[in-house]
Amino acid sequence: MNNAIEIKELSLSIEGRSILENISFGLGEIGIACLLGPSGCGKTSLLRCIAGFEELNNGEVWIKGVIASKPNHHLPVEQRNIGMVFQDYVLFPHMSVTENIIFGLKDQRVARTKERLDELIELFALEKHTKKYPHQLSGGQQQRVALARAMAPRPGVFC
Amino acid sequence: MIFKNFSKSFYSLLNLNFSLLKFSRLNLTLILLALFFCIPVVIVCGSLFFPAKDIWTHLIDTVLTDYIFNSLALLIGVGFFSLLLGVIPAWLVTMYQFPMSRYLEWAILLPMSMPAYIIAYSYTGTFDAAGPVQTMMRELTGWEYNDYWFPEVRSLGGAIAMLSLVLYPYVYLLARASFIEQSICVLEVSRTLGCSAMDAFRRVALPLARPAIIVGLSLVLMETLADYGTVQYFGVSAFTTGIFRTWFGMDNSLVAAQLSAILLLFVVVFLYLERRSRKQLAFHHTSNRYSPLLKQKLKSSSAFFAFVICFAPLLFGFILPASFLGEWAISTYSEALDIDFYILLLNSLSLAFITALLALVIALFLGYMNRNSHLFINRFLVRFISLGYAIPGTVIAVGVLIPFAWFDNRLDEFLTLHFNFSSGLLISGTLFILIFAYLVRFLAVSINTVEAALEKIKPEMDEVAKTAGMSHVNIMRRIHIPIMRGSLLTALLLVFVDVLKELPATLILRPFNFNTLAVRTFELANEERLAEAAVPALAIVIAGIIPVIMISNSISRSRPGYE
Repeated sequence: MNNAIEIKELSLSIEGRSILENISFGLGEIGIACLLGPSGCGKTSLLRCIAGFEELNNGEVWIKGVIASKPNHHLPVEQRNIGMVFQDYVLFPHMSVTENIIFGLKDQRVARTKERLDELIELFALEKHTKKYPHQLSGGQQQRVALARAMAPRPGVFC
Repeated sequence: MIFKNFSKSFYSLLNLNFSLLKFSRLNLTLILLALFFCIPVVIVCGSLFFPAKDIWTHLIDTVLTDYIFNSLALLIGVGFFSLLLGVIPAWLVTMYQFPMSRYLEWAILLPMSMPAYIIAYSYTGTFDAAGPVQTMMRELTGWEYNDYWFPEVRSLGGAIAMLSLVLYPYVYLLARASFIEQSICVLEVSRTLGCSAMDAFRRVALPLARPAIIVGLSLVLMETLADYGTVQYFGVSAFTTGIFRTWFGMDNSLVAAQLSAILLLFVVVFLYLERRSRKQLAFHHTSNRYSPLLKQKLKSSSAFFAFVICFAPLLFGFILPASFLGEWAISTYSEALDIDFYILLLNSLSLAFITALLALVIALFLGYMNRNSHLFINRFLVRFISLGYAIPGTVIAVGVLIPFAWFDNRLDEFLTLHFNFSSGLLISGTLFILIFAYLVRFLAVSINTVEAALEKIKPEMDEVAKTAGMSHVNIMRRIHIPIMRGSLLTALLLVFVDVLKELPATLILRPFNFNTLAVRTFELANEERLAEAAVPALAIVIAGIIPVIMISNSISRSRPGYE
């Protein structure tokens, strides 16, 4: 298992309806993959299986060499170390830009958190918006905040 | 037609005069409506300008400290327990599956149909020294009355418990509606960022639901301040009992109205805090994506604790008191269920429904006025109308009765003098005045709920609809109402149940030969005929149950993306 993500014969049904059937593929450690397909073919469902939002009927999901999902085994979402940016960003509306970005940082040391925050704010050019709330940002700015938030905890896999 | 033309001219005239202030016809309608609804509040507040120094000196020397201390203790106690009993079960039934969770999600609302004074009668009749529990205990142990300690039901603590048990559903209802309407995506994002389910609740779901929870809490606190039946029966000296005592015991309506004005100060503080926190947390959904809410299945001990947490308020707030009432009702139903009883039932239901519907229509009008206009005067008037909720029913009744009786008498004098015709009590002896008093009292419930719902609709949604050529009516019909449906039904239910249980205003303002279930229950219980009071009391409870179930189902379906 040298791949960052390894999917083996994955099948998913929701309320008796088959959504995904017998999917297998692997993604290397350093790489960018693109999932293409017509609407309703199951792209989002597959990503939700990898992230751990759905429990599988059959097959396996391996992340960084660790079994994450298989029937009767389900590693909780928060333990998979996966960063995700949702289609419409889903920023926390009650938090400022800064609070959104540091939301996932577990390190209790203030200096470390501040260092990572500054790094991401500079990377995404958000210096002027740190105290703003999501509804005060444009669509592009919201997208950058969502990316910074997902990258902040340094996830092993980024979706 | 003549009236219509006259109205148009009247409005045009007023519009002309106020054109410099940029007032529209709707603004004027709002002002006229507010003036009408403010009559009782103005009378209560106006009482402060009339001196009554002697009686106040007497009150300060004797009971005023008790009124203040007990009222504050009630507010803190009932507020705390209502939050505890309302928010945690709301989260558990929304997010998790455990034994009976499908039934508990609506059953937790059942205590709402139980008036506080009825639950107080029920617990007192069962747990006081002469009740079956202590009697059985003494028989089993051979103890005498003073040989043991038993929690005193008729006490400040007892009043806090009784009020919390019947008022927590306000918090539950609004918290659950808010949890259901939250985008599941924000919770999923928090999980990908390393939050456990508990953390996601604490850091994301709870802060997002805070405006709705504060609205629920403010309703609970205002109900607590307005309660009379429970504190009177338990002998707790609070502001409301003080008002009644001053009014009927000392025959001084002026000082009673002045005490009510002090009560209003408490409410102004709650309303200010509520508005402030709403403004600070005026969240809009940042995601329009909704996936079906998949509940997590709890196992073994977690499932058991979740069940206990959700079942306990239902057991103590509904099942036990309803069982006590049921037992009494079985022994008296054959005499109680006559034609008079069905007339009482019809009177109560029709009054409650008409008032709830009117309150909703008026609240929608006021809510939209506030949303579409930035005039300070509009916001101020709506807040002023909302104050009626905290005023005890009796004070509202007198605040309504005095001006209408004055109008009736002046009209009668005029007609008798000029036309030799007596009009009698044209308004003050009819159902109109009663419904008006209910609206003054309960309009705040509808306004709070409708405004909380309107805050969830992004202004951009209106803009998109306008670019698609939609009229205001169509925007409301096709966008706003479907989104707000759950909240609108909640507003309807809250007022319906409140009116069904309302007692003091009905007692004073009902027309001759017109009675309701609540009044009949009070009359019987006041004469310590608890067994006979059980049938009309249970009827109030049962009538309240049906809309409780309906609203719970509607809230579940109101979530955008519900399948």
